[in-house]
Amino acid sequence: MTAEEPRLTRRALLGAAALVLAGCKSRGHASSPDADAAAIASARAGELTLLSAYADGTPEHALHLTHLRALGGAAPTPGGSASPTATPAYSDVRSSVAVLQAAAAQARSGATAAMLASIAASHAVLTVPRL
Amino acid sequence: MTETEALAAAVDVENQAIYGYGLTGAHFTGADRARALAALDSHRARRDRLAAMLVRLGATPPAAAPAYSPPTPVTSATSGRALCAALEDACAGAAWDLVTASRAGSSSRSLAVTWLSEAAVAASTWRGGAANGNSAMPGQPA
Repeated sequence: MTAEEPRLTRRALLGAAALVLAGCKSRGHASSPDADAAAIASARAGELTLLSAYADGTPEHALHLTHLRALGGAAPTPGGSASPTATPAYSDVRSSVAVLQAAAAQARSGATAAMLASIAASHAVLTVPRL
Repeated sequence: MTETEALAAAVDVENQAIYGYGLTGAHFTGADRARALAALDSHRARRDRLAAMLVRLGATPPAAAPAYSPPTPVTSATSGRALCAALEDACAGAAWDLVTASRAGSSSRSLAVTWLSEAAVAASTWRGGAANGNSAMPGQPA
């Protein structure tokens, strides 16, 4: 949509923020950088769990692989260890939405929050019944 | 982008959505029309909440333009659905920006997180469902 008058440019000042995916064993404050790293690690483990439920090449597999990579993870390789290093934050798509939204609401880093909120949104789309 | 700038941009995007849904309504019947009317109410309510947040930060919400031009003409229910999906995509983008710019635990962060999911679901619905070209990362800048 184009306004008849000049208007704000929505993304004019939004830079590309790099995520620092650090170690993930912290028990720090709920809104600390370590807590962000822990939330990312738990979400990464959750995506690994979801990924294992779909065959390679399916749309759902591709979707969760994209999420896993956004979270700093790598696709499991045949014969390689796919065991998550953190406790999965979720094990099914439906329950993941609220978990990811809560993590996004509390993330200290805006970039981390947006990534978690976006994955939650993608999962929310998957929960809508198809006609 | 500051939180104030992201809120102002969000108000602007919602003003566009409100105008756009009004534009498409005449072409819809049945379930589409009911969905568009419900969306119109939701967008008005969210625009008002976003504007109130801006006022609390000491800023003046941007006024809606008298009219907006859609990217493509709306001449049928099909083109109306496409515009609604595009409007929701724009809302998802504005929500992403607001999530990024807002503080942890703030009311604007909370609203933006929920808004992002709602916009993604609405865009998918206007496109005909989850299997129809949805982004893996809704709202993320290209």
